[in-house]
Amino acid sequence: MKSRVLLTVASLLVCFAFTGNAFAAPGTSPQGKEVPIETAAVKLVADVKDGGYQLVTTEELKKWIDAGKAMTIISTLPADEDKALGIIASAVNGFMPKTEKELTPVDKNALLKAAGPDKGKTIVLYCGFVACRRSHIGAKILVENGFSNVYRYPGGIIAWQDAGYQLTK
Amino acid sequence: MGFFKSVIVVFITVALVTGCAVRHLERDTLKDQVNVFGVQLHSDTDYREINGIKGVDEPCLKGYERSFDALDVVIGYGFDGKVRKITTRNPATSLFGVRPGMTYEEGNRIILQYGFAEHEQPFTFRSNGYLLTFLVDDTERVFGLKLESVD
Repeated sequence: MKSRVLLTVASLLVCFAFTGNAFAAPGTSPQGKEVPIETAAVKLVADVKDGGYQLVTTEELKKWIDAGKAMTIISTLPADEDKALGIIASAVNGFMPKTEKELTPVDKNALLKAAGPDKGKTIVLYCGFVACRRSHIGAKILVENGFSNVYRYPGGIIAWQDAGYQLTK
Repeated sequence: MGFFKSVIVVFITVALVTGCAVRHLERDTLKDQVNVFGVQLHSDTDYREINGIKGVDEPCLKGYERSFDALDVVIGYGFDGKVRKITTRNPATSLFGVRPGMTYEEGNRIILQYGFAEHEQPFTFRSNGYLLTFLVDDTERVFGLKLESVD
Protein backbone atom coordinates (compact mmCIF):
# COMPACT_ATOMS: atom_id res chain seq x y z
CA MET A 1 0.00 0.00 0.00
CA LYS A 2 2.78 2.36 1.02
CA SER A 3 4.71 1.68 -2.19
CA ARG A 4 1.57 2.37 -4.27
CA VAL A 5 1.14 5.74 -2.61
CA LEU A 6 4.79 6.59 -3.21
CA LEU A 7 4.49 5.50 -6.84
CA THR A 8 1.40 7.66 -7.33
CA VAL A 9 3.06 10.70 -5.74
CA ALA A 10 6.21 10.19 -7.88
CA SER A 11 4.10 9.85 -11.04
CA LEU A 12 2.22 13.04 -10.21
CA LEU A 13 5.49 14.90 -9.60
CA VAL A 14 6.92 13.71 -12.95
CA CYS A 15 3.69 14.73 -14.74
CA PHE A 16 3.76 18.14 -13.01
CA ALA A 17 7.41 18.66 -13.98
CA PHE A 18 6.76 17.79 -17.62
CA THR A 19 3.60 19.91 -17.75
CA GLY A 20 5.53 22.79 -16.25
CA ASN A 21 8.21 22.47 -18.90
CA ALA A 22 5.61 22.29 -21.63
CA PHE A 23 4.34 25.76 -20.61
CA ALA A 24 7.80 27.33 -20.41
CA ALA A 25 8.71 28.85 -23.76
CA PRO A 26 12.29 29.02 -25.05
CA GLY A 27 13.81 32.49 -25.21
CA THR A 28 15.58 35.21 -23.24
CA SER A 29 12.86 35.13 -20.61
CA PRO A 30 10.63 32.04 -20.29
CA GLN A 31 7.60 34.26 -19.71
CA GLY A 32 8.59 37.01 -22.13
CA LYS A 33 8.13 37.64 -25.79
CA GLU A 34 11.32 37.89 -27.82
CA VAL A 35 10.41 40.80 -30.12
CA PRO A 36 9.89 43.47 -27.41
CA ILE A 37 13.01 42.17 -25.67
CA GLU A 38 14.98 42.58 -28.90
CA THR A 39 13.54 46.07 -29.50
CA ALA A 40 14.43 47.19 -25.98
CA ALA A 41 17.92 45.63 -26.20
CA VAL A 42 18.74 47.33 -29.50
CA LYS A 43 17.51 50.70 -28.16
CA LEU A 44 19.53 50.20 -24.99
CA VAL A 45 22.75 49.55 -26.93
CA ALA A 46 22.16 52.62 -29.10
CA ASP A 47 21.40 54.77 -26.03
CA VAL A 48 24.48 53.61 -24.14
CA LYS A 49 26.70 54.45 -27.15
CA ASP A 50 25.02 57.84 -27.43
CA GLY A 51 25.04 58.62 -23.72
CA GLY A 52 28.59 57.62 -22.82
CA TYR A 53 27.60 56.22 -19.41
CA GLN A 54 27.96 52.73 -17.93
CA LEU A 55 25.39 50.09 -17.00
CA VAL A 56 24.81 48.33 -13.72
CA THR A 57 22.75 45.16 -13.28
CA THR A 58 20.28 44.33 -10.55
CA GLU A 59 22.71 42.02 -8.75
CA GLU A 60 25.61 44.46 -8.98
CA LEU A 61 23.49 47.31 -7.66
CA LYS A 62 22.24 45.13 -4.79
CA LYS A 63 25.86 44.28 -3.89
CA TRP A 64 26.82 47.96 -3.98
CA ILE A 65 23.93 48.88 -1.70
CA ASP A 66 24.66 46.00 0.72
CA ALA A 67 28.34 46.96 0.81
CA GLY A 68 27.45 50.57 1.60
CA LYS A 69 29.18 51.92 -1.49
CA ALA A 70 29.25 55.71 -1.57
CA MET A 71 26.87 56.69 -4.35
CA THR A 72 23.82 58.72 -5.19
CA ILE A 73 20.84 56.82 -6.55
CA ILE A 74 18.40 58.89 -8.60
CA SER A 75 14.90 57.86 -9.57
CA THR A 76 13.92 59.57 -12.82
CA LEU A 77 10.27 58.61 -12.45
CA PRO A 78 7.65 61.26 -11.65
CA ALA A 79 7.73 62.12 -7.93
CA ASP A 80 4.14 60.97 -7.43
CA GLU A 81 5.04 57.52 -8.82
CA ASP A 82 7.97 57.33 -6.40
CA LYS A 83 5.55 58.09 -3.58
CA ALA A 84 2.99 55.55 -4.78
CA LEU A 85 5.31 52.70 -5.80
CA GLY A 86 8.34 53.26 -3.58
CA ILE A 87 12.01 53.83 -4.33
CA ILE A 88 15.20 51.75 -4.46
CA ALA A 89 17.18 52.18 -1.24
CA SER A 90 17.68 55.87 -0.48
CA ALA A 91 17.05 57.18 -3.98
CA VAL A 92 16.36 60.86 -4.52
CA ASN A 93 14.01 62.11 -7.19
CA GLY A 94 15.32 63.65 -10.39
CA PHE A 95 12.33 63.47 -12.72
CA MET A 96 13.06 63.12 -16.40
CA PRO A 97 10.47 63.11 -19.19
CA LYS A 98 10.02 60.09 -21.46
CA THR A 99 11.49 61.86 -24.49
CA GLU A 100 14.15 64.53 -25.00
CA LYS A 101 11.56 66.68 -26.77
CA GLU A 102 9.70 67.21 -23.49
CA LEU A 103 12.78 68.08 -21.44
CA THR A 104 12.59 71.51 -19.78
CA PRO A 105 15.36 73.60 -18.18
CA VAL A 106 13.57 73.14 -14.84
CA ASP A 107 13.85 69.32 -15.13
CA LYS A 108 17.51 69.56 -16.09
CA ASN A 109 18.41 71.89 -13.22
CA ALA A 110 16.54 69.73 -10.70
CA LEU A 111 18.46 66.66 -11.89
CA LEU A 112 21.83 68.43 -11.56
CA LYS A 113 20.84 69.54 -8.06
CA ALA A 114 19.88 65.95 -7.15
CA ALA A 115 23.23 64.67 -8.43
CA GLY A 116 25.09 67.08 -6.16
CA PRO A 117 28.37 68.96 -6.55
CA ASP A 118 30.80 65.98 -6.49
CA LYS A 119 31.27 65.12 -10.16
CA GLY A 120 33.48 62.11 -9.39
CA LYS A 121 30.92 60.37 -7.19
CA THR A 122 29.17 57.22 -8.43
CA ILE A 123 25.68 58.09 -9.59
CA VAL A 124 23.08 55.49 -10.52
CA LEU A 125 19.93 56.45 -12.41
CA TYR A 126 16.90 54.27 -12.89
CA CYS A 127 13.28 54.38 -14.03
CA GLY A 128 10.68 51.68 -14.59
CA PHE A 129 12.11 49.01 -16.87
CA VAL A 130 14.53 48.43 -19.76
CA ALA A 131 12.34 50.06 -22.42
CA CYS A 132 11.92 53.21 -20.29
CA ARG A 133 14.26 55.97 -21.49
CA ARG A 134 13.92 58.45 -18.63
CA SER A 135 17.12 57.12 -16.99
CA HIS A 136 18.97 57.38 -20.33
CA ILE A 137 18.02 61.04 -20.71
CA GLY A 138 19.18 61.77 -17.16
CA ALA A 139 22.43 59.79 -17.42
CA LYS A 140 23.30 61.52 -20.68
CA ILE A 141 22.74 64.96 -19.15
CA LEU A 142 25.03 64.14 -16.24
CA VAL A 143 27.81 62.89 -18.56
CA GLU A 144 27.46 66.04 -20.67
CA ASN A 145 27.83 68.10 -17.49
CA GLY A 146 31.13 66.52 -16.50
CA PHE A 147 30.04 63.70 -14.16
CA SER A 148 32.54 60.87 -14.62
CA ASN A 149 30.98 57.86 -12.85
CA VAL A 150 27.47 57.72 -14.21
CA TYR A 151 25.63 54.39 -14.28
CA ARG A 152 22.23 53.58 -15.68
CA TYR A 153 20.33 50.74 -14.04
CA PRO A 154 18.14 49.69 -16.98
CA GLY A 155 16.00 47.07 -15.22
CA GLY A 156 14.56 49.74 -12.92
CA ILE A 157 11.92 49.08 -10.31
CA ILE A 158 10.33 46.22 -12.24
CA ALA A 159 13.59 44.22 -12.38
CA TRP A 160 14.30 45.13 -8.76
CA GLN A 161 10.98 43.64 -7.67
CA ASP A 162 11.39 40.67 -10.06
CA ALA A 163 14.60 39.85 -8.20
CA GLY A 164 12.62 39.78 -4.96
CA TYR A 165 14.01 43.02 -3.56
CA GLN A 166 11.82 45.51 -1.77
CA LEU A 167 11.09 49.10 -2.69
CA THR A 168 11.17 51.63 0.15
CA LYS A 169 8.11 53.78 0.78
CA MET B 1 -31.58 73.20 18.60
CA GLY B 2 -33.91 71.78 15.89
CA PHE B 3 -33.36 74.96 13.91
CA PHE B 4 -29.57 74.55 14.05
CA LYS B 5 -29.85 70.91 13.01
CA SER B 6 -31.99 71.95 10.04
CA VAL B 7 -29.46 74.61 9.06
CA ILE B 8 -26.62 72.07 9.21
CA VAL B 9 -28.59 69.54 7.14
CA VAL B 10 -29.44 72.20 4.54
CA PHE B 11 -25.82 73.39 4.49
CA ILE B 12 -24.45 69.86 3.96
CA THR B 13 -27.04 69.12 1.26
CA VAL B 14 -26.23 72.34 -0.60
CA ALA B 15 -22.50 71.65 -0.30
CA LEU B 16 -22.90 68.12 -1.68
CA VAL B 17 -25.17 69.19 -4.52
CA THR B 18 -23.01 72.13 -5.58
CA GLY B 19 -19.89 69.99 -5.21
CA CYS B 20 -21.32 67.48 -7.68
CA ALA B 21 -22.44 70.25 -10.01
CA VAL B 22 -19.00 71.81 -10.04
CA ARG B 23 -17.46 68.43 -10.72
CA HIS B 24 -19.72 67.85 -13.73
CA LEU B 25 -19.15 71.35 -14.96
CA GLU B 26 -15.41 70.63 -14.89
CA ARG B 27 -15.87 67.57 -17.11
CA ASP B 28 -18.07 69.50 -19.55
CA THR B 29 -15.62 72.38 -19.59
CA LEU B 30 -12.84 69.92 -20.21
CA LYS B 31 -14.52 68.53 -23.34
CA ASP B 32 -14.99 72.01 -24.76
CA GLN B 33 -11.51 73.22 -23.93
CA VAL B 34 -9.36 70.33 -25.11
CA ASN B 35 -8.50 71.06 -28.72
CA VAL B 36 -6.03 68.34 -29.71
CA PHE B 37 -7.22 66.68 -32.92
CA GLY B 38 -10.44 65.61 -31.21
CA VAL B 39 -8.68 63.55 -28.55
CA GLN B 40 -10.52 63.65 -25.22
CA LEU B 41 -9.42 62.79 -21.72
CA HIS B 42 -11.29 59.79 -20.19
CA SER B 43 -12.30 58.60 -23.67
CA ASP B 44 -12.00 54.89 -24.41
CA THR B 45 -11.49 55.57 -28.12
CA ASP B 46 -8.48 53.71 -29.47
CA TYR B 47 -6.84 56.56 -31.41
CA ARG B 48 -4.58 54.45 -33.65
CA GLU B 49 -4.31 57.04 -36.41
CA ILE B 50 -4.76 60.82 -36.39
CA ASN B 51 -4.82 62.80 -39.65
CA GLY B 52 -3.27 59.84 -41.45
CA ILE B 53 -0.40 59.58 -38.94
CA LYS B 54 -0.06 56.24 -37.19
CA GLY B 55 0.81 56.21 -33.50
CA VAL B 56 3.71 54.28 -32.02
CA ASP B 57 3.11 52.58 -28.66
CA GLU B 58 5.59 52.68 -25.79
CA PRO B 59 5.02 50.87 -22.50
CA CYS B 60 4.81 52.79 -19.23
CA LEU B 61 4.16 51.91 -15.61
CA LYS B 62 0.55 53.10 -15.64
CA GLY B 63 -0.37 51.70 -19.07
CA TYR B 64 1.11 52.78 -22.38
CA GLU B 65 1.74 55.92 -24.40
CA ARG B 66 1.03 56.40 -28.08
CA SER B 67 3.26 58.93 -29.86
CA PHE B 68 2.29 60.74 -33.03
CA ASP B 69 5.71 62.27 -33.71
CA ALA B 70 4.74 64.09 -36.91
CA LEU B 71 1.94 65.83 -35.00
CA ASP B 72 3.92 66.44 -31.79
CA VAL B 73 1.18 64.75 -29.80
CA VAL B 74 1.34 61.91 -27.27
CA ILE B 75 -1.70 60.14 -25.84
CA GLY B 76 -1.30 58.29 -22.54
CA TYR B 77 -3.62 55.33 -21.97
CA GLY B 78 -4.26 53.57 -18.68
CA PHE B 79 -4.42 49.78 -18.46
CA ASP B 80 -8.22 50.18 -18.68
CA GLY B 81 -7.82 51.55 -22.23
CA LYS B 82 -8.98 55.06 -21.28
CA VAL B 83 -7.10 58.24 -22.17
CA ARG B 84 -5.51 59.55 -18.98
CA LYS B 85 -2.95 61.99 -20.40
CA ILE B 86 -2.60 64.25 -23.43
CA THR B 87 0.71 65.91 -24.29
CA THR B 88 1.00 68.36 -27.15
CA ARG B 89 3.78 70.49 -28.60
CA ASN B 90 1.74 71.38 -31.68
CA PRO B 91 0.98 75.14 -31.95
CA ALA B 92 -2.23 74.31 -33.84
CA THR B 93 -3.63 72.66 -30.70
CA SER B 94 -4.67 74.19 -27.41
CA LEU B 95 -5.75 73.31 -23.89
CA PHE B 96 -8.07 75.83 -22.22
CA GLY B 97 -7.04 78.38 -24.82
CA VAL B 98 -3.34 78.00 -24.06
CA ARG B 99 -1.27 77.12 -27.12
CA PRO B 100 2.34 75.98 -27.46
CA GLY B 101 4.24 79.10 -28.48
CA MET B 102 2.58 81.46 -25.99
CA THR B 103 4.60 83.12 -23.26
CA TYR B 104 4.30 81.59 -19.82
CA GLU B 105 2.87 84.86 -18.53
CA GLU B 106 0.04 84.73 -21.08
CA GLY B 107 -0.68 81.06 -20.40
CA ASN B 108 -0.62 81.58 -16.66
CA ARG B 109 -3.13 84.45 -16.90
CA ILE B 110 -5.50 82.37 -19.05
CA ILE B 111 -5.34 79.16 -17.05
CA LEU B 112 -6.04 80.81 -13.70
CA GLN B 113 -9.35 82.05 -15.15
CA TYR B 114 -10.45 78.42 -15.56
CA GLY B 115 -10.19 77.74 -11.86
CA PHE B 116 -6.80 76.05 -11.98
CA ALA B 117 -4.55 76.78 -9.02
CA GLU B 118 -0.76 76.79 -8.98
CA HIS B 119 0.71 73.45 -7.87
CA GLU B 120 3.87 72.92 -5.81
CA GLN B 121 5.73 71.74 -8.93
CA PRO B 122 6.88 74.64 -11.10
CA PHE B 123 4.74 75.55 -14.13
CA THR B 124 2.06 73.08 -13.01
CA PHE B 125 -1.59 73.76 -12.17
CA ARG B 126 -4.24 71.64 -10.51
CA SER B 127 -8.02 71.58 -10.63
CA ASN B 128 -10.42 68.90 -9.41
CA GLY B 129 -8.37 65.82 -10.22
CA TYR B 130 -6.62 67.28 -13.25
CA LEU B 131 -3.00 68.32 -13.50
CA LEU B 132 -1.90 70.68 -16.26
CA THR B 133 1.81 71.19 -16.84
CA PHE B 134 3.31 73.85 -19.06
CA LEU B 135 6.59 72.77 -20.66
CA VAL B 136 8.52 76.04 -20.52
CA ASP B 137 11.85 76.81 -22.21
CA ASP B 138 14.72 79.13 -21.24
CA THR B 139 12.93 82.14 -22.70
CA GLU B 140 9.82 81.56 -20.53
CA ARG B 141 7.89 80.39 -23.57
CA VAL B 142 5.45 77.48 -23.38
CA PHE B 143 6.67 74.88 -25.89
CA GLY B 144 4.30 72.14 -24.79
CA LEU B 145 1.36 71.28 -22.57
CA LYS B 146 0.51 68.15 -20.64
CA LEU B 147 -2.94 67.48 -19.22
CA GLU B 148 -3.50 64.42 -17.07
CA SER B 149 -6.17 62.93 -14.92
CA VAL B 150 -4.83 62.24 -11.45
CA ASP B 151 -7.94 60.60 -9.96
